[in-house]
Amino acid sequence: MKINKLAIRRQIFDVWNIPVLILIISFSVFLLYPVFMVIKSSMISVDGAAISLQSYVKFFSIAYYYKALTNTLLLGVLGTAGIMILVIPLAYLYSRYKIFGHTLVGTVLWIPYLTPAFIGAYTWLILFGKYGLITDFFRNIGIMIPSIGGFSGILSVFILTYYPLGFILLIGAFQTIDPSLEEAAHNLGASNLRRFWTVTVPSTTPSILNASLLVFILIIDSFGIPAIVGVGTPVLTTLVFGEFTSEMGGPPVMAATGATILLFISMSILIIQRVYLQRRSFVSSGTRSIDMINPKPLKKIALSLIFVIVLIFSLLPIITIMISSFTVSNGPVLQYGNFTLDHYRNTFYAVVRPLKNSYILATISMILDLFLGSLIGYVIIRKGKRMATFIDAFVALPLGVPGVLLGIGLILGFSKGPLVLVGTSSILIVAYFVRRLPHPVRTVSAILAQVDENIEEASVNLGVPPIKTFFKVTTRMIFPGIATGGLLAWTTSVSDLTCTILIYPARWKTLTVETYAQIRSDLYGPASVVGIFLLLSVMMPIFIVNMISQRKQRLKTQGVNSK
Amino acid sequence: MASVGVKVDNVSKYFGDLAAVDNLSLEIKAGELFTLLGPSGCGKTTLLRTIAGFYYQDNGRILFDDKQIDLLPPHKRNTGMVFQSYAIFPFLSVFDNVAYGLKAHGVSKSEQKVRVMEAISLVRLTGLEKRRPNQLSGGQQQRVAVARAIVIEPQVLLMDEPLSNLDAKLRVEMRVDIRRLQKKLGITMIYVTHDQEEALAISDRIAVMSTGCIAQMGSPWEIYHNPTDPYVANFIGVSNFFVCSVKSMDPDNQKIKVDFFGKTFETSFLLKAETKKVIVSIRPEAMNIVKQEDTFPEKINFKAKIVDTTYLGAGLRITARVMDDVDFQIQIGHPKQITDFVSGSEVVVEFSPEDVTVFPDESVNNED
Repeated sequence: MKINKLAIRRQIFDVWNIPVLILIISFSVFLLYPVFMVIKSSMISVDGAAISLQSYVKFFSIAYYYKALTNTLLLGVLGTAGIMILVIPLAYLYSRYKIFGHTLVGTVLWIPYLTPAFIGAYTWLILFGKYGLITDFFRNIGIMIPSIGGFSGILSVFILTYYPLGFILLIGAFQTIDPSLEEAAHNLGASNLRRFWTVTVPSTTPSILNASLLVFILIIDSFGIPAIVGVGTPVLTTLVFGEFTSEMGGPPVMAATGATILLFISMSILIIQRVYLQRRSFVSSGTRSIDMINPKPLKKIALSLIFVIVLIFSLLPIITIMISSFTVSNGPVLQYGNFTLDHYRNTFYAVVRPLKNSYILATISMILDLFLGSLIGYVIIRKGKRMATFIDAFVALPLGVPGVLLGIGLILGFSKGPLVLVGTSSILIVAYFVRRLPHPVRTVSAILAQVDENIEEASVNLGVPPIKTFFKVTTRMIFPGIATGGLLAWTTSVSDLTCTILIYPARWKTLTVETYAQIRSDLYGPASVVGIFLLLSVMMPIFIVNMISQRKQRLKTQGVNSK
Repeated sequence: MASVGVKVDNVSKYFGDLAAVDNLSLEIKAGELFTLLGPSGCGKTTLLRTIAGFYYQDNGRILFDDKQIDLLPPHKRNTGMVFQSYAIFPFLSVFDNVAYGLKAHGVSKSEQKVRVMEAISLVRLTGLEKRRPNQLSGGQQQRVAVARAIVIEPQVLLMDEPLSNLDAKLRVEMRVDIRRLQKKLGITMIYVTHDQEEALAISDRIAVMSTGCIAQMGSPWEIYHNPTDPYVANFIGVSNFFVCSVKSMDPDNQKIKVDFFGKTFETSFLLKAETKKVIVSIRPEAMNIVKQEDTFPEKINFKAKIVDTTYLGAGLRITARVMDDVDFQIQIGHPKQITDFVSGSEVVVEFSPEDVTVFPDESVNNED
């Protein structure tokens, strides 16, 4: 290959290297360094001399510790399996049959996923806990049903909380399968059920595995659900949190050990998911999409009923928390039927401050994410293949770093020295920024891949320099990606508990921390009020963005009609 | 508009180890409509994008008149490019699309308005200024793309397969418009296409490209009538190719006698002494079907049997078999009686040696 010096100089001084450089520096300082600090702390021996594996020996020989690991793995496997068993038939039916309120069902099914996980857990506790509404109801008519809690409690709440993600991912898989594959099977005389098991399921296996791994990571990284429902059943996240908050005196060796083990598990899963599965997905080659079947009335009603049941479970947490916020309460005991506005009156001032904090922190980190994320998304799609695969993998790293680990790492790394973040709002902004950056990168690059590169080249050709073209033309083309990426980054930051609870400075208490504190103090009435504000904060932007995009769609169709 | 001549001087562009443009040189005169023609993958678009500055060449120089421009970034080259996909800004009106480049060049608002309206009227879109791109047809969008490119008064207009997304009829209409506009503005234009008919219809000169090099360069007439190698003859139009032996040579008059399936004809051709085999190329429309054998002594004719016919509307394509194993493709004008040409009919095919092109058969000569 012939090389020209000019071309090499151009490559080095290419302006697009600047965002990549910023990415590498910020991840090295705020992600890799904290992770390194945690791993280092896990290897401090009892006498303080560096590098030893004593803590790991201790971890695997004392039941108190290794029980948390086995619980985590068991919950991960059983939870994932439970969700897949529930979701595979549901997603298949949804992607093939028209039911009543098809799109509405699709939207509402998202709700449990968007609800901050620990709020969901809390509402299930209100309903099925020891003094739960439904538990009480059955007790009053003489039937004792087991109250939610412990291992099985965590497991069921995991399934109820995370099934929407599996559902959404699998609908995508079932819809993009090449219809001619199934038609061929049909044509060859295979029955419906046979076709489902011999053609549909095998050709979506990579997607099913992919969804399983993503759900698995969510489950093992979750802190809120086991902390609220699973008192007495330690998992890695709660163990690490407990150890860290009680080890405050010396180096947090055992917390770091648990966090490192959790990191090892989620990183392995992430690597498997990226290296093995992303290449194997069977993407449909044709442009034709699956035809939806409009079933006969009786069948349609039966199918719709299945989804009504699912809908009830999806909406139950929201309805419960709404009613609870208006119900007279005495600690964890809610007196249903007796309504009051007291919780709102008493809690309102307690909400304002955390609400403001959450919004400020999430907004600042979202702006940073959007700025860097769109530029990185652009580089991945538009600039050179070899570099793109590296950046794409690098920017996904935060997805494999558990929130508890990053929290501990940031405290260990930035409590002294040249850059002190502990005790300032910056520590939260940095944490949100790093953890959510993959969102805008993914949404922007997904849209950009479909945007005709010639449009940008036309702008450059007409005399507008590349960077200016990016802001004048590209950002407008990828706006939907920026909006969704921002939305995801903002809402997930506002609803973050796992990392926030470890690092928040007293002045910067967030909505999630406030809600969690109220729940843990057994103040279910006020907790519901704060929870409502948290829920509204997460749901509102989604509805706004939805409304704007629908209005735009309408304008577009009007434009076409007036032609 | 100040049109410039374009000089491409020994330019190479590699993708990995593959030379997309291979040490290529050409000169385009100011005001000329110059076409790069070739199949996909021949490097024509790569060369165009190198001239626009979207690729940097690995070797060689590119000059506009005497000014070397290959060091300039694309936004400073002042070329106007029209893309195959139109690449209209979907979020801007027709007016704002055309005004986009003028704004970037810092042209005053009032002058912008005058020049935009003039460009829009040149491409015959007056009245549609306020439309959004999604309210325009494909042909109209292409006109916006052309207006947007010419309004900045570029030194060179670059057209990258601008018509290939349009339907056949509109394509013919648009290419007439583009040529008329180019002559009216007197602008230098480099036009890339894989459609040989389009290239023949529109160009002042054509460069036929193959694997990063120029196979032949010349006027449309030269390219069609005197292709310099079988690749060009095959790519431009359709041709019958036959490998024949050289019977005798007359180096003084640059003539050879060729043995053509037992009959001998003479044709002018400069040959190297060792050449024993040649490729004879005859265009289907240079052949004819006649009633009787040996009517004109200066023509060559054979008894043949029709094996297949394709009705083309304006004409008829006939496959006729000679001596049970050689097939000729013959194209005749619209026949009065289609029944004269059913498969199995015995006919006589005829052609005149002066319509024949001869190339040395290099594959055979190399083996000797």
